[in-house]
Amino acid sequence: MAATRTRRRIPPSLKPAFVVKKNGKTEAAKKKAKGSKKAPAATLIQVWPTDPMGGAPPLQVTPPQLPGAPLSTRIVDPQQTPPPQIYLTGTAEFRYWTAAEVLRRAAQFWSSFGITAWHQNIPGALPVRLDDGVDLNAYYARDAYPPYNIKQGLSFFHDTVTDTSTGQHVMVYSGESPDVVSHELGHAVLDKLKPQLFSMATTEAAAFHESFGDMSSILTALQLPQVRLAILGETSGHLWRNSSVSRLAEQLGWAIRQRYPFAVDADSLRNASNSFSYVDPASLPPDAPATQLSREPHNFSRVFTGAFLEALGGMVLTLADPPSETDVAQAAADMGRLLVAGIAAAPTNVQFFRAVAREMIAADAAIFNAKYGEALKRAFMRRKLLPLHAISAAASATATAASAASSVLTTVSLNGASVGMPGITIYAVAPAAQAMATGEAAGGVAVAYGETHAFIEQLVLRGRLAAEPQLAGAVALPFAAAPKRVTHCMVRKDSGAELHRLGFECGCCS
Amino acid sequence: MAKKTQPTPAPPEEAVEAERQFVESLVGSGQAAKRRPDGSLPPGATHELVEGDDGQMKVVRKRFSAF
Repeated sequence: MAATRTRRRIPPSLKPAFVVKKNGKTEAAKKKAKGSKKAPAATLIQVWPTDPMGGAPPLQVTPPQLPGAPLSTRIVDPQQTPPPQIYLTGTAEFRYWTAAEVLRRAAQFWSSFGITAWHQNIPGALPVRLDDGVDLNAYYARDAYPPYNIKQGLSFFHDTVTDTSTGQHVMVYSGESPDVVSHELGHAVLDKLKPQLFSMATTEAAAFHESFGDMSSILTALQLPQVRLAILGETSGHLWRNSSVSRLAEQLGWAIRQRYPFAVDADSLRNASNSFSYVDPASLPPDAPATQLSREPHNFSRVFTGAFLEALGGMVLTLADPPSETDVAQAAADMGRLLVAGIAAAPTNVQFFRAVAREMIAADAAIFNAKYGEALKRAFMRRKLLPLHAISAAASATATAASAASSVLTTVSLNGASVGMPGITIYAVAPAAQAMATGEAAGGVAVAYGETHAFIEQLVLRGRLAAEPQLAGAVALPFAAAPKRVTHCMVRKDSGAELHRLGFECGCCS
Repeated sequence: MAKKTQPTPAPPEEAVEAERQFVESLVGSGQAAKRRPDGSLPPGATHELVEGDDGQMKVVRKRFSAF
Protein backbone atom coordinates (compact mmCIF):
# COMPACT_ATOMS: atom_id res chain seq x y z
CA MET A 1 0.00 0.00 0.00
CA ALA A 2 1.37 3.35 -0.99
CA ALA A 3 2.21 5.62 1.88
CA THR A 4 0.09 8.72 2.05
CA ARG A 5 1.77 12.01 2.66
CA THR A 6 -0.06 14.45 4.79
CA ARG A 7 0.68 18.09 4.38
CA ARG A 8 -0.30 20.69 6.93
CA ARG A 9 -2.15 23.46 5.25
CA ILE A 10 -1.12 26.90 6.34
CA PRO A 11 -3.85 29.50 5.97
CA PRO A 12 -2.82 32.13 3.42
CA SER A 13 -3.07 34.84 6.05
CA LEU A 14 -0.43 33.08 8.13
CA LYS A 15 2.03 32.38 5.34
CA PRO A 16 5.27 34.31 5.60
CA ALA A 17 5.64 36.99 2.97
CA PHE A 18 9.19 35.93 2.19
CA VAL A 19 10.56 32.40 1.91
CA VAL A 20 14.34 32.29 2.10
CA LYS A 21 15.83 29.76 -0.34
CA LYS A 22 18.96 27.75 0.24
CA ASN A 23 21.02 30.03 -1.97
CA GLY A 24 20.04 32.89 0.23
CA LYS A 25 17.85 34.60 -2.34
CA THR A 26 14.28 35.33 -1.53
CA GLU A 27 11.43 34.79 -3.92
CA ALA A 28 11.11 38.53 -4.07
CA ALA A 29 14.76 38.92 -4.98
CA LYS A 30 14.36 36.33 -7.75
CA LYS A 31 11.42 38.17 -9.22
CA LYS A 32 13.39 41.41 -9.14
CA ALA A 33 16.28 39.71 -10.93
CA LYS A 34 13.89 38.57 -13.64
CA GLY A 35 12.86 42.14 -14.23
CA SER A 36 9.41 41.87 -12.74
CA LYS A 37 7.79 45.27 -12.36
CA LYS A 38 5.72 44.12 -9.37
CA ALA A 39 6.89 45.50 -6.02
CA PRO A 40 7.87 42.76 -3.58
CA ALA A 41 5.30 41.95 -0.93
CA ALA A 42 6.08 43.73 2.32
CA THR A 43 7.34 41.68 5.24
CA LEU A 44 4.62 41.44 7.84
CA ILE A 45 4.41 40.48 11.48
CA GLN A 46 1.38 39.45 13.46
CA VAL A 47 0.35 41.30 16.65
CA TRP A 48 -2.50 41.72 19.11
CA PRO A 49 -4.27 45.06 18.70
CA THR A 50 -5.08 45.57 22.42
CA ASP A 51 -4.87 42.36 24.45
CA PRO A 52 -4.79 38.59 23.97
CA MET A 53 -8.28 38.47 25.49
CA GLY A 54 -9.43 41.69 23.86
CA GLY A 55 -11.71 39.79 21.53
CA ALA A 56 -10.13 40.89 18.25
CA PRO A 57 -7.98 38.59 16.11
CA PRO A 58 -4.30 39.38 15.54
CA LEU A 59 -3.45 42.04 12.99
CA GLN A 60 -0.81 41.78 10.31
CA VAL A 61 1.36 44.88 10.19
CA THR A 62 4.79 45.91 9.00
CA PRO A 63 7.53 45.30 11.57
CA PRO A 64 8.63 48.30 13.63
CA GLN A 65 12.02 49.94 13.43
CA LEU A 66 14.10 48.75 16.39
CA PRO A 67 15.22 50.30 18.63
CA GLY A 68 13.52 53.25 16.95
CA ALA A 69 13.85 56.94 17.74
CA PRO A 70 13.04 59.12 19.49
CA LEU A 71 12.11 57.36 22.75
CA SER A 72 14.15 54.31 21.80
CA THR A 73 13.32 51.00 23.39
CA ARG A 74 15.64 48.01 23.49
CA ILE A 75 14.39 44.50 24.18
CA VAL A 76 17.22 42.98 26.21
CA ASP A 77 15.37 39.79 27.09
CA PRO A 78 15.28 37.81 24.89
CA GLN A 79 18.61 38.92 23.44
CA GLN A 80 17.96 37.50 19.97
CA THR A 81 15.54 39.23 17.62
CA PRO A 82 13.52 36.62 15.72
CA PRO A 83 13.32 37.23 11.97
CA PRO A 84 10.30 39.41 11.23
CA GLN A 85 7.58 37.22 9.81
CA ILE A 86 4.16 35.88 10.68
CA TYR A 87 4.32 33.71 13.78
CA LEU A 88 1.51 31.76 15.31
CA THR A 89 0.01 33.07 18.52
CA GLY A 90 1.35 31.31 21.57
CA THR A 91 4.93 31.32 20.33
CA ALA A 92 7.79 33.29 21.86
CA GLU A 93 8.39 34.92 18.48
CA PHE A 94 4.81 36.15 18.30
CA ARG A 95 5.13 37.61 21.79
CA TYR A 96 8.37 39.32 20.82
CA TRP A 97 6.92 41.09 17.81
CA THR A 98 3.61 42.00 19.42
CA ALA A 99 5.57 43.68 22.24
CA ALA A 100 8.07 45.30 19.86
CA GLU A 101 5.29 46.73 17.74
CA VAL A 102 3.36 48.29 20.62
CA LEU A 103 6.51 49.67 22.23
CA ARG A 104 7.19 51.57 19.01
CA ARG A 105 3.55 52.58 18.53
CA ALA A 106 3.36 54.03 22.04
CA ALA A 107 6.76 55.70 21.78
CA GLN A 108 5.85 57.32 18.47
CA PHE A 109 2.59 58.61 19.88
CA TRP A 110 4.11 60.26 22.95
CA SER A 111 7.19 61.56 21.14
CA SER A 112 4.92 63.42 18.72
CA PHE A 113 4.21 65.84 21.61
CA GLY A 114 7.85 66.74 22.11
CA ILE A 115 8.84 64.07 24.65
CA THR A 116 11.95 62.79 22.96
CA ALA A 117 13.99 61.28 25.81
CA TRP A 118 13.49 59.20 28.91
CA HIS A 119 14.29 60.32 32.42
CA GLN A 120 17.89 61.49 32.72
CA ASN A 121 18.82 58.31 34.59
CA ILE A 122 17.97 56.38 31.38
CA PRO A 123 20.16 58.20 28.85
CA GLY A 124 19.82 55.75 25.95
CA ALA A 125 17.20 53.25 24.96
CA LEU A 126 14.70 52.09 27.57
CA PRO A 127 15.58 48.47 28.47
CA VAL A 128 12.71 46.00 28.16
CA ARG A 129 12.54 42.44 29.53
CA LEU A 130 9.68 40.45 28.07
CA ASP A 131 9.91 37.53 30.50
CA ASP A 132 11.77 38.27 33.71
CA GLY A 133 10.44 35.37 35.70
CA VAL A 134 7.29 34.41 37.55
CA ASP A 135 4.80 37.11 38.51
CA LEU A 136 1.36 38.32 37.49
CA ASN A 137 2.50 41.88 37.02
CA ALA A 138 4.70 44.28 35.08
CA TYR A 139 6.98 47.06 36.30
CA TYR A 140 8.70 50.28 35.37
CA ALA A 141 11.79 51.26 37.34
CA ARG A 142 13.83 54.42 36.82
CA ASP A 143 16.93 52.83 38.28
CA ALA A 144 18.27 49.36 38.85
CA TYR A 145 18.54 48.12 42.42
CA PRO A 146 20.40 44.81 42.17
CA PRO A 147 19.98 43.89 45.85
CA TYR A 148 16.23 44.16 45.37
CA ASN A 149 16.24 42.35 42.02
CA ILE A 150 14.79 45.50 40.48
CA LYS A 151 15.97 46.20 36.96
CA GLN A 152 15.96 49.52 35.16
CA GLY A 153 13.30 49.93 32.50
CA LEU A 154 10.26 47.78 31.79
CA SER A 155 9.95 44.23 33.10
CA PHE A 156 7.26 41.74 32.19
CA PHE A 157 6.62 38.26 33.57
CA HIS A 158 4.74 35.02 33.18
CA ASP A 159 2.77 32.77 35.49
CA THR A 160 0.55 29.72 35.30
CA VAL A 161 -3.00 30.21 36.45
CA THR A 162 -5.69 27.63 37.09
CA ASP A 163 -8.87 28.51 35.24
CA THR A 164 -11.50 28.27 37.97
CA SER A 165 -14.24 27.34 35.48
CA THR A 166 -12.41 24.48 33.70
CA GLY A 167 -9.58 23.53 36.03
CA GLN A 168 -7.13 23.93 33.18
CA HIS A 169 -3.72 25.51 33.67
CA VAL A 170 -3.14 28.58 31.54
CA MET A 171 0.18 30.34 31.06
CA VAL A 172 -0.13 34.13 30.94
CA TYR A 173 2.61 36.49 29.79
CA SER A 174 2.09 40.11 30.83
CA GLY A 175 4.40 41.29 28.02
CA GLU A 176 2.09 39.78 25.43
CA SER A 177 -0.59 42.39 26.14
CA PRO A 178 -0.26 45.68 24.26
CA ASP A 179 -2.42 47.23 27.00
CA VAL A 180 0.09 46.24 29.68
CA VAL A 181 3.14 47.18 27.62
CA SER A 182 1.81 50.65 26.74
CA HIS A 183 0.74 51.15 30.37
CA GLU A 184 4.28 50.53 31.59
CA LEU A 185 5.76 52.66 28.84
CA GLY A 186 3.36 55.38 29.97
CA HIS A 187 5.02 55.34 33.40
CA ALA A 188 8.35 55.99 31.71
CA VAL A 189 6.89 58.84 29.63
CA LEU A 190 5.32 60.51 32.67
CA ASP A 191 8.54 60.06 34.63
CA LYS A 192 10.22 62.28 32.03
CA LEU A 193 7.33 64.73 31.87
CA LYS A 194 6.80 65.10 35.64
CA PRO A 195 9.69 63.48 37.51
CA GLN A 196 8.54 64.95 40.83
CA LEU A 197 5.65 62.49 40.90
CA PHE A 198 7.96 59.49 41.20
CA SER A 199 8.65 60.04 44.87
CA MET A 200 5.65 62.08 45.92
CA ALA A 201 4.01 60.21 48.77
CA THR A 202 0.43 61.13 48.11
CA THR A 203 -2.42 59.02 46.85
CA GLU A 204 -3.14 61.33 43.94
CA ALA A 205 0.43 61.49 42.67
CA ALA A 206 0.72 57.71 42.70
CA ALA A 207 -2.78 57.22 41.32
CA PHE A 208 -2.18 59.71 38.54
CA HIS A 209 0.84 57.68 37.43
CA GLU A 210 -1.43 54.63 37.15
CA SER A 211 -4.10 56.61 35.36
CA PHE A 212 -1.55 57.95 32.89
CA GLY A 213 -0.46 54.38 32.21
CA ASP A 214 -4.04 53.42 31.42
CA MET A 215 -4.57 56.54 29.33
CA SER A 216 -1.40 55.63 27.46
CA SER A 217 -2.89 52.20 26.75
CA ILE A 218 -6.12 53.68 25.40
CA LEU A 219 -4.47 56.35 23.26
CA THR A 220 -1.89 53.88 21.95
CA ALA A 221 -4.64 51.43 20.98
CA LEU A 222 -6.43 54.21 19.11
CA GLN A 223 -3.40 54.67 16.87
CA LEU A 224 -4.55 51.59 14.96
CA PRO A 225 -7.29 52.29 12.38
CA GLN A 226 -8.73 48.81 12.98
CA VAL A 227 -9.19 49.62 16.68
CA ARG A 228 -10.78 52.97 15.88
CA LEU A 229 -13.29 51.29 13.59
CA ALA A 230 -13.97 48.63 16.20
CA ILE A 231 -14.66 51.09 19.01
CA LEU A 232 -16.98 53.13 16.81
CA GLY A 233 -18.94 49.98 16.08
CA GLU A 234 -19.00 48.81 19.69
CA THR A 235 -20.05 52.17 21.16
CA SER A 236 -22.05 53.72 18.30
CA GLY A 237 -19.65 56.62 18.44
CA HIS A 238 -20.00 57.16 22.20
CA LEU A 239 -16.50 56.28 23.28
CA TRP A 240 -17.21 56.52 27.01
CA ARG A 241 -19.23 53.32 26.78
CA ASN A 242 -17.88 49.89 27.66
CA SER A 243 -15.71 48.60 24.80
CA SER A 244 -12.65 46.57 23.89
CA VAL A 245 -10.69 49.81 24.32
CA SER A 246 -12.15 50.83 27.68
CA ARG A 247 -11.44 47.35 29.06
CA LEU A 248 -7.76 47.34 29.88
CA ALA A 249 -5.55 44.26 30.15
CA GLU A 250 -8.33 41.71 30.00
CA GLN A 251 -6.00 38.72 30.15
CA LEU A 252 -3.92 39.86 33.12
CA GLY A 253 -7.14 40.86 34.82
CA TRP A 254 -8.61 37.43 34.13
CA ALA A 255 -5.51 35.72 35.54
CA ILE A 256 -5.54 37.80 38.72
CA ARG A 257 -9.29 37.22 39.09
CA GLN A 258 -8.75 33.44 39.16
CA ARG A 259 -6.74 33.94 42.34
CA TYR A 260 -8.27 37.07 43.81
CA PRO A 261 -11.86 37.38 42.56
CA PHE A 262 -12.41 40.88 43.92
CA ALA A 263 -9.00 42.42 43.28
CA VAL A 264 -9.74 43.61 39.75
CA ASP A 265 -12.71 44.65 37.65
CA ALA A 266 -15.10 41.92 36.55
CA ASP A 267 -14.17 42.10 32.86
CA SER A 268 -10.60 43.38 32.79
CA LEU A 269 -7.76 44.60 34.97
CA ARG A 270 -9.45 48.01 34.99
CA ASN A 271 -12.33 49.32 32.92
CA ALA A 272 -12.10 53.01 32.03
CA SER A 273 -15.84 53.04 31.41
CA ASN A 274 -16.74 53.51 35.05
CA SER A 275 -18.86 55.80 37.18
CA PHE A 276 -16.40 56.74 39.92
CA SER A 277 -16.37 60.36 41.03
CA TYR A 278 -13.73 62.22 42.97
CA VAL A 279 -13.82 62.19 46.72
CA ASP A 280 -11.04 63.15 49.09
CA PRO A 281 -8.94 59.98 49.15
CA ALA A 282 -8.41 60.48 52.87
CA SER A 283 -12.08 59.60 53.33
CA LEU A 284 -11.64 56.24 51.57
CA PRO A 285 -10.46 52.92 52.98
CA PRO A 286 -6.85 51.96 52.23
CA ASP A 287 -8.01 49.12 50.01
CA ALA A 288 -11.33 47.70 48.88
CA PRO A 289 -12.85 45.30 46.34
CA ALA A 290 -12.62 46.60 42.79
CA THR A 291 -16.33 47.41 42.83
CA GLN A 292 -15.62 50.15 45.36
CA LEU A 293 -13.35 53.15 45.39
CA SER A 294 -10.37 53.03 47.73
CA ARG A 295 -7.20 55.04 48.09
CA GLU A 296 -5.04 52.21 46.77
CA PRO A 297 -3.38 54.00 43.81
CA HIS A 298 -4.48 51.61 41.04
CA ASN A 299 -8.00 51.65 42.41
CA PHE A 300 -8.20 55.42 42.85
CA SER A 301 -6.66 56.02 39.42
CA ARG A 302 -9.99 55.00 37.90
CA VAL A 303 -11.52 58.35 38.83
CA PHE A 304 -9.24 60.27 36.50
CA THR A 305 -9.22 57.58 33.80
CA GLY A 306 -13.02 57.53 33.80
CA ALA A 307 -13.12 61.29 33.37
CA PHE A 308 -10.51 61.05 30.63
CA LEU A 309 -12.50 58.51 28.62
CA GLU A 310 -15.65 60.56 29.00
CA ALA A 311 -13.81 63.69 27.89
CA LEU A 312 -12.29 61.86 24.95
CA GLY A 313 -15.71 60.68 23.86
CA GLY A 314 -16.99 64.24 24.09
CA MET A 315 -14.07 65.51 22.06
CA VAL A 316 -14.81 63.00 19.32
CA LEU A 317 -18.42 64.18 19.14
CA THR A 318 -17.23 67.78 19.10
CA LEU A 319 -15.50 67.00 15.84
CA ALA A 320 -18.39 65.16 14.23
CA ASP A 321 -21.61 63.45 15.16
CA PRO A 322 -21.70 60.72 14.04
CA PRO A 323 -17.91 60.50 14.05
CA SER A 324 -15.62 58.69 11.62
CA GLU A 325 -12.45 56.84 12.51
CA THR A 326 -10.40 59.85 11.41
CA ASP A 327 -12.30 61.95 13.97
CA VAL A 328 -11.31 59.43 16.63
CA ALA A 329 -7.69 59.65 15.49
CA GLN A 330 -7.79 63.45 15.62
CA ALA A 331 -9.39 63.54 19.06
CA ALA A 332 -6.87 61.01 20.40
CA ALA A 333 -3.99 63.11 19.10
CA ASP A 334 -5.49 66.30 20.54
CA MET A 335 -6.15 64.58 23.87
CA GLY A 336 -2.52 63.48 24.02
CA ARG A 337 -1.43 67.06 23.43
CA LEU A 338 -3.77 68.39 26.12
CA LEU A 339 -2.59 65.79 28.61
CA VAL A 340 1.06 66.61 28.05
CA ALA A 341 0.43 70.36 28.29
CA GLY A 342 -1.86 70.03 31.29
CA ILE A 343 0.46 67.77 33.24
CA ALA A 344 3.49 69.93 32.51
CA ALA A 345 1.69 73.02 33.81
CA ALA A 346 -0.01 71.41 36.82
CA PRO A 347 1.48 72.21 40.22
CA THR A 348 2.43 69.09 42.15
CA ASN A 349 0.15 69.71 45.07
CA VAL A 350 -1.90 67.26 47.11
CA GLN A 351 -4.92 67.53 44.80
CA PHE A 352 -3.05 66.68 41.64
CA PHE A 353 -6.08 65.28 39.77
CA ARG A 354 -7.84 68.62 39.99
CA ALA A 355 -4.70 70.53 39.11
CA VAL A 356 -4.32 68.54 35.89
CA ALA A 357 -8.00 68.93 35.03
CA ARG A 358 -7.80 72.71 35.40
CA GLU A 359 -4.62 72.92 33.34
CA MET A 360 -6.02 70.75 30.56
CA ILE A 361 -8.92 73.16 30.18
CA ALA A 362 -6.49 76.06 30.13
CA ALA A 363 -4.38 74.25 27.54
CA ASP A 364 -7.45 73.67 25.39
CA ALA A 365 -8.20 77.40 25.49
CA ALA A 366 -4.63 78.25 24.50
CA ILE A 367 -4.06 75.57 21.87
CA PHE A 368 -7.49 74.84 20.40
CA ASN A 369 -9.30 78.08 21.17
CA ALA A 370 -11.46 76.23 23.71
CA LYS A 371 -12.83 73.92 21.01
CA TYR A 372 -13.04 71.04 23.47
CA GLY A 373 -14.01 73.18 26.48
CA GLU A 374 -17.48 71.77 26.90
CA ALA A 375 -16.36 68.16 26.51
CA LEU A 376 -13.59 68.59 29.06
CA LYS A 377 -15.64 70.55 31.57
CA ARG A 378 -18.58 68.21 31.36
CA ALA A 379 -16.40 65.19 32.07
CA PHE A 380 -14.33 66.77 34.82
CA MET A 381 -17.37 68.28 36.51
CA ARG A 382 -19.36 65.09 36.37
CA ARG A 383 -16.46 63.33 38.10
CA LYS A 384 -16.20 66.11 40.69
CA LEU A 385 -12.74 67.00 39.48
CA LEU A 386 -13.96 70.53 38.93
CA PRO A 387 -16.67 72.32 40.88
CA LEU A 388 -19.56 73.53 38.76
CA HIS A 389 -19.02 77.06 40.03
CA ALA A 390 -15.63 77.00 38.34
CA ILE A 391 -17.50 78.28 35.31
CA SER A 392 -18.09 81.55 37.10
CA ALA A 393 -15.34 83.32 38.95
CA ALA A 394 -17.91 85.01 41.12
CA ALA A 395 -19.57 81.80 42.11
CA SER A 396 -21.38 81.78 45.33
CA ALA A 397 -24.52 80.04 46.27
CA THR A 398 -27.05 81.48 48.57
CA ALA A 399 -30.48 80.29 49.28
CA THR A 400 -33.33 82.30 50.60
CA ALA A 401 -36.57 81.03 51.93
CA ALA A 402 -39.24 82.50 49.69
CA SER A 403 -42.07 81.58 51.94
CA ALA A 404 -42.72 80.71 55.49
CA ALA A 405 -41.54 77.36 56.68
CA SER A 406 -44.99 76.50 57.84
CA SER A 407 -45.95 75.11 54.44
CA VAL A 408 -44.81 71.62 53.45
CA LEU A 409 -43.15 72.82 50.28
CA THR A 410 -41.52 76.13 49.61
CA THR A 411 -39.52 77.82 46.92
CA VAL A 412 -35.83 78.33 47.38
CA SER A 413 -33.66 80.56 45.28
CA LEU A 414 -30.13 79.77 44.29
CA ASN A 415 -27.44 81.82 42.69
CA GLY A 416 -27.22 80.28 39.21
CA ALA A 417 -23.45 80.58 39.26
CA SER A 418 -23.28 77.70 41.72
CA VAL A 419 -24.60 75.36 39.03
CA GLY A 420 -22.77 76.87 36.12
CA MET A 421 -25.31 79.54 35.13
CA PRO A 422 -23.97 82.88 36.30
CA GLY A 423 -26.11 86.00 36.28
CA ILE A 424 -29.47 84.47 37.03
CA THR A 425 -31.46 83.45 40.08
CA ILE A 426 -32.93 79.96 39.95
CA TYR A 427 -36.12 79.15 41.81
CA ALA A 428 -36.99 75.62 42.72
CA VAL A 429 -39.51 73.91 44.91
CA ALA A 430 -37.99 72.31 47.96
CA PRO A 431 -39.11 70.83 51.26
CA ALA A 432 -39.65 73.52 53.83
CA ALA A 433 -37.31 71.83 56.25
CA GLN A 434 -34.47 72.33 53.85
CA ALA A 435 -35.32 75.94 53.35
CA MET A 436 -35.32 76.39 57.10
CA ALA A 437 -32.04 74.68 57.50
CA THR A 438 -30.20 76.32 54.70
CA GLY A 439 -31.98 79.54 53.91
CA GLU A 440 -32.21 82.90 55.53
CA ALA A 441 -34.15 81.48 58.43
CA ALA A 442 -30.97 79.67 59.39
CA GLY A 443 -28.87 82.76 59.06
CA GLY A 444 -28.34 82.79 55.30
CA VAL A 445 -26.20 79.68 55.22
CA ALA A 446 -25.00 78.85 51.73
CA VAL A 447 -26.44 75.73 50.14
CA ALA A 448 -23.49 74.90 47.96
CA TYR A 449 -24.19 71.21 48.45
CA GLY A 450 -27.70 71.28 49.82
CA GLU A 451 -30.21 68.89 48.39
CA THR A 452 -31.75 71.34 45.94
CA HIS A 453 -28.40 72.48 44.73
CA ALA A 454 -27.19 68.92 44.35
CA PHE A 455 -30.33 67.97 42.45
CA ILE A 456 -30.03 70.80 39.95
CA GLU A 457 -26.34 70.13 39.65
CA GLN A 458 -26.89 66.54 38.57
CA LEU A 459 -29.54 67.65 36.07
CA VAL A 460 -27.01 70.01 34.51
CA LEU A 461 -24.22 67.45 34.54
CA ARG A 462 -26.35 64.71 33.04
CA GLY A 463 -27.72 66.93 30.29
CA ARG A 464 -31.28 66.69 31.57
CA LEU A 465 -31.97 70.43 31.84
CA ALA A 466 -33.08 72.77 29.05
CA ALA A 467 -34.20 76.43 28.96
CA GLU A 468 -37.39 77.69 27.31
CA PRO A 469 -36.83 79.87 24.21
CA GLN A 470 -37.97 83.02 26.06
CA LEU A 471 -34.94 82.66 28.30
CA ALA A 472 -32.52 82.58 25.41
CA GLY A 473 -29.77 85.03 26.18
CA ALA A 474 -30.64 85.20 29.87
CA VAL A 475 -29.68 81.64 30.76
CA ALA A 476 -26.45 80.12 29.54
CA LEU A 477 -26.53 76.41 30.28
CA PRO A 478 -23.01 75.09 30.70
CA PHE A 479 -23.82 72.11 28.48
CA ALA A 480 -26.28 71.56 25.70
CA ALA A 481 -28.87 69.07 26.88
CA ALA A 482 -29.57 65.99 24.84
CA PRO A 483 -33.13 66.55 23.48
CA LYS A 484 -34.30 63.00 24.13
CA ARG A 485 -33.01 63.07 27.68
CA VAL A 486 -34.38 66.36 28.98
CA THR A 487 -36.49 65.93 32.10
CA HIS A 488 -36.55 69.54 33.36
CA CYS A 489 -36.96 72.96 31.81
CA MET A 490 -36.09 76.46 33.04
CA VAL A 491 -39.11 78.79 32.72
CA ARG A 492 -38.98 82.56 33.18
CA LYS A 493 -40.12 83.77 36.61
CA ASP A 494 -39.71 87.41 37.66
CA SER A 495 -36.16 88.30 36.76
CA GLY A 496 -34.99 84.74 37.12
CA ALA A 497 -35.91 81.23 36.01
CA GLU A 498 -37.92 78.52 37.68
CA LEU A 499 -37.27 74.84 37.45
CA HIS A 500 -40.10 72.76 35.95
CA ARG A 501 -40.14 69.03 35.56
CA LEU A 502 -41.10 67.79 32.10
CA GLY A 503 -41.04 64.09 32.67
CA PHE A 504 -39.30 61.11 34.16
CA GLU A 505 -36.73 58.76 32.72
CA CYS A 506 -35.64 55.24 33.49
CA GLY A 507 -32.19 56.50 34.37
CA CYS A 508 -30.55 53.33 33.19
CA CYS A 509 -28.71 54.65 30.17
CA SER A 510 -26.45 57.53 29.29
CA MET B 1 32.95 81.46 51.96
CA ALA B 2 30.67 78.62 52.78
CA LYS B 3 27.23 78.98 51.35
CA LYS B 4 24.51 79.32 53.94
CA THR B 5 21.88 76.68 53.69
CA GLN B 6 18.32 77.63 54.32
CA PRO B 7 16.45 75.41 56.76
CA THR B 8 13.89 73.28 54.98
CA PRO B 9 10.43 74.63 55.69
CA ALA B 10 8.08 72.25 57.41
CA PRO B 11 5.57 70.72 54.98
CA PRO B 12 2.00 71.93 55.34
CA GLU B 13 -0.21 69.92 57.65
CA GLU B 14 -2.37 68.59 54.83
CA ALA B 15 0.70 67.24 53.01
CA VAL B 16 1.89 65.45 56.15
CA GLU B 17 -1.52 63.89 56.61
CA ALA B 18 -1.70 62.93 52.92
CA GLU B 19 1.67 61.21 53.21
CA ARG B 20 0.60 59.36 56.35
CA GLN B 21 -2.53 58.12 54.60
CA PHE B 22 -0.54 57.10 51.55
CA VAL B 23 1.97 55.08 53.55
CA GLU B 24 -0.82 53.39 55.46
CA SER B 25 -2.47 52.47 52.17
CA LEU B 26 0.77 51.09 50.72
CA VAL B 27 1.47 48.96 53.76
CA GLY B 28 -2.13 47.77 53.86
CA SER B 29 -2.06 46.60 50.26
CA GLY B 30 1.42 45.06 50.45
CA GLN B 31 2.92 47.59 48.06
CA ALA B 32 5.36 48.78 50.69
CA ALA B 33 7.48 46.09 52.25
CA LYS B 34 10.80 45.47 53.89
CA ARG B 35 13.53 43.72 51.97
CA ARG B 36 13.50 39.96 52.22
CA PRO B 37 16.50 38.08 53.67
CA ASP B 38 17.92 37.70 50.17
CA GLY B 39 17.68 41.47 49.72
CA SER B 40 14.84 41.43 47.21
CA LEU B 41 11.45 43.07 47.49
CA PRO B 42 8.39 40.79 47.48
CA PRO B 43 6.48 40.55 44.18
CA GLY B 44 4.08 43.44 43.84
CA ALA B 45 5.97 45.73 46.19
CA THR B 46 6.69 49.12 44.68
CA HIS B 47 8.13 50.79 47.78
CA GLU B 48 10.71 49.76 50.34
CA LEU B 49 10.01 50.36 54.01
CA VAL B 50 13.09 51.87 55.59
CA GLU B 51 13.76 53.20 59.05
CA GLY B 52 14.73 56.85 59.11
CA ASP B 53 17.29 58.45 61.42
CA ASP B 54 14.46 59.49 63.68
CA GLY B 55 13.30 55.89 64.04
CA GLN B 56 10.21 56.50 61.93
CA MET B 57 9.44 54.12 59.08
CA LYS B 58 9.49 55.76 55.66
CA VAL B 59 8.70 54.51 52.19
CA VAL B 60 11.04 54.85 49.23
CA ARG B 61 9.65 54.21 45.77
CA LYS B 62 11.58 51.68 43.76
CA ARG B 63 9.27 51.05 40.79
CA PHE B 64 5.74 51.23 39.40
CA SER B 65 3.58 48.20 38.75
CA ALA B 66 0.62 47.41 36.51
CA PHE B 67 -1.39 45.96 39.39
